Amino acid sequence: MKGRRYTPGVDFEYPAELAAFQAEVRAFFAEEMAPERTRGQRDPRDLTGYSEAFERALQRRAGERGYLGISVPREHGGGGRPLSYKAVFGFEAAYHDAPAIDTALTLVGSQVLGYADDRQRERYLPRMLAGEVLMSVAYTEPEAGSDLTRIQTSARREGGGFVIDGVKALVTGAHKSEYACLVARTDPDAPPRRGMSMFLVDLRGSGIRVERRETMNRWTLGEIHFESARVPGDALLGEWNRGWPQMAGSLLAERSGMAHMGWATRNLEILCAHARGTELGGRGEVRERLAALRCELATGLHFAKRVMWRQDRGEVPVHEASMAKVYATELLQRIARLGLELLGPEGTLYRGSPSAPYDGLFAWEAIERIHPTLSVGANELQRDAIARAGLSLPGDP
Amino acid sequence: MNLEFTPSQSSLRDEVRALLEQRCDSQAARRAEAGEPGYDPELWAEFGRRGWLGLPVPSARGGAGGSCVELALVGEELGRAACPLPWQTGALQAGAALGALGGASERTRLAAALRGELRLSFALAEPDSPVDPAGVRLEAAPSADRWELRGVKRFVGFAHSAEAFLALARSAAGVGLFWVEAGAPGLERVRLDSIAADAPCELRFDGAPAELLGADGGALPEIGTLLDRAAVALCAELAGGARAALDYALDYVRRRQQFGRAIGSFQAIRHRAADMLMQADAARCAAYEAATRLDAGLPAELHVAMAQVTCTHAAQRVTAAAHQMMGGVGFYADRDLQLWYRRARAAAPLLGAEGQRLERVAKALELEAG
Repeated sequence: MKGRRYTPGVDFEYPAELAAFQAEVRAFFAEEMAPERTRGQRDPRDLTGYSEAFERALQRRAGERGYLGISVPREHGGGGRPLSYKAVFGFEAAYHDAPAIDTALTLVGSQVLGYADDRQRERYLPRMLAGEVLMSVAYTEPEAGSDLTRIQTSARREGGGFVIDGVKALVTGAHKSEYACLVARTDPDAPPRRGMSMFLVDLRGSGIRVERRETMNRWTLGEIHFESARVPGDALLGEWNRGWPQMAGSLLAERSGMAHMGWATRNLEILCAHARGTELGGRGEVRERLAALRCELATGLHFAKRVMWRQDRGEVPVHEASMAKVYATELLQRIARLGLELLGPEGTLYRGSPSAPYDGLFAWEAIERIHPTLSVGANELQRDAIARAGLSLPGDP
Repeated sequence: MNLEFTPSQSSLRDEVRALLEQRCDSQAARRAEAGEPGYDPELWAEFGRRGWLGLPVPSARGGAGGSCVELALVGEELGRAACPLPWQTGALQAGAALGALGGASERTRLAAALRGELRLSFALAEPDSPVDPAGVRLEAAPSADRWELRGVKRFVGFAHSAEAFLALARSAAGVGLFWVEAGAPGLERVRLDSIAADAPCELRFDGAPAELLGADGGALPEIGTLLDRAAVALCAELAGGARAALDYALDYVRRRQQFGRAIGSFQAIRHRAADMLMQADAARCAAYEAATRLDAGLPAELHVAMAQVTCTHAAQRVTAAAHQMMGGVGFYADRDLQLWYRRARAAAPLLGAEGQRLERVAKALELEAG
């Protein structure tokens, strides 16, 4: 062992190229989201907090620079970079509160790349890469919840196309999206997992109505009603009655949850700076709570980076991705809670209200952060996945 | 970004693990802990023969020049095996201190210590200052050709069987490192009976003769560095123990039948297990990130402090949750869970009270007002 030289093994730092990309994206968002650019562009009824026009313009500029498809393979017109680039883009978008998280490629990219035929790909991908289109994911339904075997929306063949009936619920961005990726029953006699198909549907078609339901944080989620809605034959994405495995396969999408860590990092930085700038920074219990959250932030970053690292090696991290999701989303709640406590009653004031500190950020955070622990697989389901995939514990009989 | 150990690190881990599986299963760990000197001297000698005791000492000083990651790997395996061994006090603290501050005349002692033939321990903690080397009050006074020590040290691991101590003491010039023979006149060793597995003693110095190692009052920078490395290795030990406790409880809940099914199939158990895995992994990541930063020479104050918070928290939470999963039988002494549970609780105060650990993080975050 004598004289053996240390060669670094474990390394949590980004490689130089990825760090350079992060710096570039950071500069892009710092400019795009500068106060003089965002003034007058607010829309509290949208999850992003910004108007649709502002969001589309920003996404087009991100598309022009090749950011939206940075991790899409080159043969499909993307940047061909590893998935970690997409994750870092999500982190920076969240950190800067930019409406560039739920892009068409983020939400529906893996479905289109994985299952679309050549003609569909040619039709959708260029616009997705360019940031010229918004898309939604419409899987769940009022009666389905987290148990997607209970999907009731149906699609039947008629003429050269399909007729869709049913209601899709809790759809982010439905009111502004051109398309929704949905799964419907196509063989009512087959077991659910073998009797569904996936569709990419133009939401401007007849028989389709989007209702906006206000959330407790003032923005809206969409409910999409299909009433004998006729869609063309090329709305079918992938294979007939293969909707279930395709839906599961779309989990191959980037899952580090780095966007959550972008918000968490920014929020905790603001609270630490707040403590430094007031007498709070000298109070023991405040220092301890901020320190504890800083440790948890480090853990959240470790979990997210572990997912990035595995994805870049071509692996599909299952329980690691669930751990990253659970940890980051619950950390966001803890940071928001401390934010409200440190800011006092003024912390509860929304943006635009007189004397709202940090432009109402923590009022919004305190309400908002219930949402990520429930969406994209409630954290209870994620914990089930961790126990099953990570610890080989048996499920319910 | 890379989350894999190098081949040489992996093989070190595999070698340590294989040796401990062979020589320190849970029955052996119990026997060693209950007997004298509180660990298996043959196992310690084997660590010496394999060169592992030299890892904390730079090659230039006659050691193996191990990285902090390697120290942590050994720690993690010891934690996993719940193996009582003077890895902290004997190797990472005393051995490293002798290597760092001992002069040429100490080379023979160091070589013997690294072979596992000279048993050393490290005297840091005091009744009023359990963890902070800068808070040391043990009095060092010059007397003719040597020094005399007066005061009390506490929680000196495996001290009753040590042949010599490296003690931090304060002279007019500041905190220095001193060599004290175990049989020195004016030194009394009092065995303490604790939940820990490192056979702690109290050392009472009443004019005990000592040799100064290094400069008078000049021990702190180097001792601080090696104590950081030792603390990170202890963090890894806690992480290893947390994961082992989780695995032990998982093995139980997969087999244990209640109400007609394996209790591991109940969601209450599965969700608890998922949380335990997150805590155990959080500890491991925190320990190794701190270790890699120390090795790379990056600023590490924040990360070393965070590792201590995360790992003590995780080890205590995971071992307690494991007891909840195992029910009453886990409380029996002949079940292994108690080993990790006790070690987690004994190790945490060695890294400072919870408030102190958090305060170190807060200080690194520069939260001071204005």
